[in-house]
Amino acid sequence: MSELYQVSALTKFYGAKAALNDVTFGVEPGRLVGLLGPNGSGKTTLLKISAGLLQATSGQVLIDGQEPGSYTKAVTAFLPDRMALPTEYRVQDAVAFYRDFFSDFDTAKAHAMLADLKLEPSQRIGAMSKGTQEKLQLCLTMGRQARLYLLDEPLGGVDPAAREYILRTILCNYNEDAAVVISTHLIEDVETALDEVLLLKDGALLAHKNADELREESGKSLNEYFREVFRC
Amino acid sequence: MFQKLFKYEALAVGRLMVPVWLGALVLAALTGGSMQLQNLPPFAGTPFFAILWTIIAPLSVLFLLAIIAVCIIANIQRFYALLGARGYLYFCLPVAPWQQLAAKWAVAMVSTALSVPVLLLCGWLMGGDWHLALFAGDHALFRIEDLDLTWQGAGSTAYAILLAALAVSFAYLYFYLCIGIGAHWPQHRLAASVIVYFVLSFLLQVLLLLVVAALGFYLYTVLDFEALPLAQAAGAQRTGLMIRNILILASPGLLLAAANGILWAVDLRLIGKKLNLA
Repeated sequence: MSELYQVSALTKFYGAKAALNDVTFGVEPGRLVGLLGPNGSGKTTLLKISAGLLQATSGQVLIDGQEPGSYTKAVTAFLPDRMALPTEYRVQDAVAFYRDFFSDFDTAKAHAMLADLKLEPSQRIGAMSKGTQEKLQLCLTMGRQARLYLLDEPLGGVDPAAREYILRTILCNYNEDAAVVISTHLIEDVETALDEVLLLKDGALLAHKNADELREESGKSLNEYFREVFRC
Repeated sequence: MFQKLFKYEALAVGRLMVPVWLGALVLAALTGGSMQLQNLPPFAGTPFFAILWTIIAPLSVLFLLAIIAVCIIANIQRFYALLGARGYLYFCLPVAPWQQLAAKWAVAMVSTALSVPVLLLCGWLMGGDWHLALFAGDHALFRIEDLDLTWQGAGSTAYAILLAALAVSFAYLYFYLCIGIGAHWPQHRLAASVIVYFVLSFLLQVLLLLVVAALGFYLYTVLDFEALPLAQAAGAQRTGLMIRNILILASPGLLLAAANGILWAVDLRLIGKKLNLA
């Protein structure tokens, strides 16, 4: 199967410091990939470049054969690690915004997810808690029938119960032909769901392996392996 | 997609501007009304409307200033937000960078243009002479007797409006440029944008001074600026003088148009090829 998401020799420098250093990998459709690494390992930089929000110093990202641009943004659903929705919006405004701009946005699915969260359409985003805002943003992102989902720290900053809800939302709402890349350092929560793992350390790709193979090879859970590799 | 971007941008700016416009109009009407009422026979000599006018008139003036300030700040803030957290939403939309820039710019221009008639209307309302005085009388909004209805007059007015529009456009694109450059700093984006604004403005002023001095020197020496007045010239000399005069008249417009074009190209590059969201 051809790779939907290809990263070749990707390098990004912030001044003299390399945030990404010659990263190369590929992700096939239908795979759920964990982008794992400690803080500052380059996870967010990689996803931001892939989403077209940041320019690489060198190297290339291809999504469905195209470099980041209008086309890739139409087929990629990106969940940033921060609140990007206008806080003056109500829930219904945010849904309308996504419906207007993304042809793959499934309004009914989004409404169902929002109903699960007991979010009223008239509720103002600015009046929500940080965790609820994050969940709303996730619902809108997963409400799309995208080909590639890039989720930056969807589990960060929320309580364990919410993490479970978020993970369930991700797993239940992406179509089988789509690839999902989840960046996180909370490996224990996603461990069982992952097909593949990408391990980043100091901007370099340490490993890109099948999750089961990695467990077999190391004789450890992904969480234990991660703790061992990234021990300070 | 541009229309959708424009719609959301207009709604966001309108949410701020419409209450300010309405507030200014209401205050202006109250100011004008209290001025009229204090001179009417039933109320003449009573201090109520005079006191009311004294309180409301400064507020009205403040609101007039607020229209300009809020309009400029709201539009600049929208672009600043685009290169901050809001960019994580807007730059993920399947639209080209030029559409992002065009939507922000178009809404800034339209909201500024709409503020002008509101300001005029406020001024007219504050004058207090509302006897169908839109086109006649000392306090008329547009006095027909003041309008130059010749082709030359209409042309001059149109050119003045064009120059004003180009100047406003330049101002917004220049602010966008400073914000775009400031956004390349990983931290303290606002401070960086302000510093860029002052440094760049200083450099541009020096450059403009040199260009104007060189242009003046060129006009006085090479083009023989103090030649015969047009009315006394004839033949080829008259044609030459006419071309020179047209060039002199058109130069501010051409300079502004060129500056707008350059700023547009640089701004587009900053939010396109050079985009680096912090």
